[in-house]
Amino acid sequence: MATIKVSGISKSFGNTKAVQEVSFEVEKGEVVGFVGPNGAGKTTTISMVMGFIRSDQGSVNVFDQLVQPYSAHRTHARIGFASGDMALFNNLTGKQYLNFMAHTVEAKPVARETLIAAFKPVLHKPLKQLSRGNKQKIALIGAMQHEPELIILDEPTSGLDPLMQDVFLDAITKAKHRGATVFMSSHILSEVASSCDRVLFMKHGQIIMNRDVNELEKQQGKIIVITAPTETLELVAKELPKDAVEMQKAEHTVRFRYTGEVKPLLAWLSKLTNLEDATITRQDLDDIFHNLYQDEEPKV
Amino acid sequence: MRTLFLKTLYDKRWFTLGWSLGIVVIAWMVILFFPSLSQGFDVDQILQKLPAQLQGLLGDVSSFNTIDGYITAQLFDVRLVLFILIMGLVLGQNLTVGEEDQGQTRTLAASAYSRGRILWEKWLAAVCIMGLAALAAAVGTYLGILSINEHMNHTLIWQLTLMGWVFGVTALSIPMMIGFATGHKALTMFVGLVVTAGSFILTTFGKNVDWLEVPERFSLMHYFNPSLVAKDGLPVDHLLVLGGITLIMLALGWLAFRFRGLRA
Repeated sequence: MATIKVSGISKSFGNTKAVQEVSFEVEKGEVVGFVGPNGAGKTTTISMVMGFIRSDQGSVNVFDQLVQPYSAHRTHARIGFASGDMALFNNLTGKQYLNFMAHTVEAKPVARETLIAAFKPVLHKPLKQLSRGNKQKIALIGAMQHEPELIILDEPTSGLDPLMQDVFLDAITKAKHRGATVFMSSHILSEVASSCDRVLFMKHGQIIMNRDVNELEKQQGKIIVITAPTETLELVAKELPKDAVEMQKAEHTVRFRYTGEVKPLLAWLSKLTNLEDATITRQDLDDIFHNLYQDEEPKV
Repeated sequence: MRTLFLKTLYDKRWFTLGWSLGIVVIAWMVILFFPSLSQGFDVDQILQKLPAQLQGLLGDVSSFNTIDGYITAQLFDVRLVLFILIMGLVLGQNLTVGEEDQGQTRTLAASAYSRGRILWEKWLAAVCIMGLAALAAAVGTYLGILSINEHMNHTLIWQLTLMGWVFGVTALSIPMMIGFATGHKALTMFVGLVVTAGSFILTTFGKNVDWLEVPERFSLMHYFNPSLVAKDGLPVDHLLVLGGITLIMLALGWLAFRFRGLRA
């Protein structure tokens, strides 16, 4: 039984199709990243998973229960939710907020104290007086203080500094080790790469890729950059190895992605003369993201 | 703060205190004028100079002769009723679309609180706040009476207070439930203002304009008639109408809020 099962959901706002026939599953104990540029439909999808809004078609099941706005709360005691722009209750202090949220679920005081010790939030001041980062810490503690079976996060680290991002990743790792399922959207791809088992890429309201993170990086291959005199580069560009794709030629370099085995690549490299430099790097999620969303990147 | 009910009361503590103190002061000040108004000049003469259509704005001026009549007509009938309507509109709008616009309703909906529980606990807290405001009217009245060394029918004060509370709950429930049902700020404000301003205009002018007799029954203020309370005690039919409107609004708000998507 999948912890989250999304089947063919769509959602439009007026003439804008925010989400189009999206389907995916998140299994128990998995940490799944949800990646895409702004406006790809990630938050709308998460809103339907949480039961904040209804889908125009399709269905969402969480813990095998159909999610609807009127019934979503039945599973929420088992879910921890936080978003980067979460509106906390400004008149309460951080401590009051955490107490209030804890009373709606089965409180785990030890887990809460551990999170407070790690994140070190300001708890005694009214939330309206706190910085975005401090509010974000409190939202994350609120989402994880009851050790939920499922953690759903929407851009969870957008207000955190790099040190706190590490604390957050540590908390996610601990949650994974105790068997929790995590589903989180993020813009920070290194965060997804280091914490997630699988990643869903979303574009124009549709899932365009759904892969295991390690497998994805392997499948996407390596980035090869050859530096040589212009005449040598002319030859290199004409006789690329068999599995080379996406070649880009500049004045002194040729850059391409290689998806084949390593031996033929090394053999090809050894045949090249006049080389000034050659670098081979594994393609990471950043490169994959740029390849997938190239047409959406702002033009300088 | 274990419940949303208590949290709402806590959130609105300054709002409640401000409105309640305001009502106490207004009630006290209106009563302070009674000795001057009842003895200082000829009220009937002033009334005769006013066009009939505008006489409703002053309330029942003939009642200036007794403290019971003065408080009934000048405090509860003209001023407090308007305050209660405006307070209900502001509170109802604020607790629903105001909080939804800020994203706080989404935060609540992410917890284990059901949509129904969110609605009921907020509404109950608002009902208590309206109760405190009605109580403030009674406190202000007693302060005023003590200040001018008069005596008044205690039963009448408490009957008017109770009637004011029931009226306030209805005045609050209309915008609050429109807010819960739609999540639409402009629509909630529009309906709230139509009910508030429309009721005030219909009732104040309706007292002396013949053709407004039937439309005036659609005014919420028609069902808060302190003069009738002073004459016959609590009007059960009016209480039933106010209670009925409240229940219908609650049912509509509850049904729609459970099924609709949140806006922010």
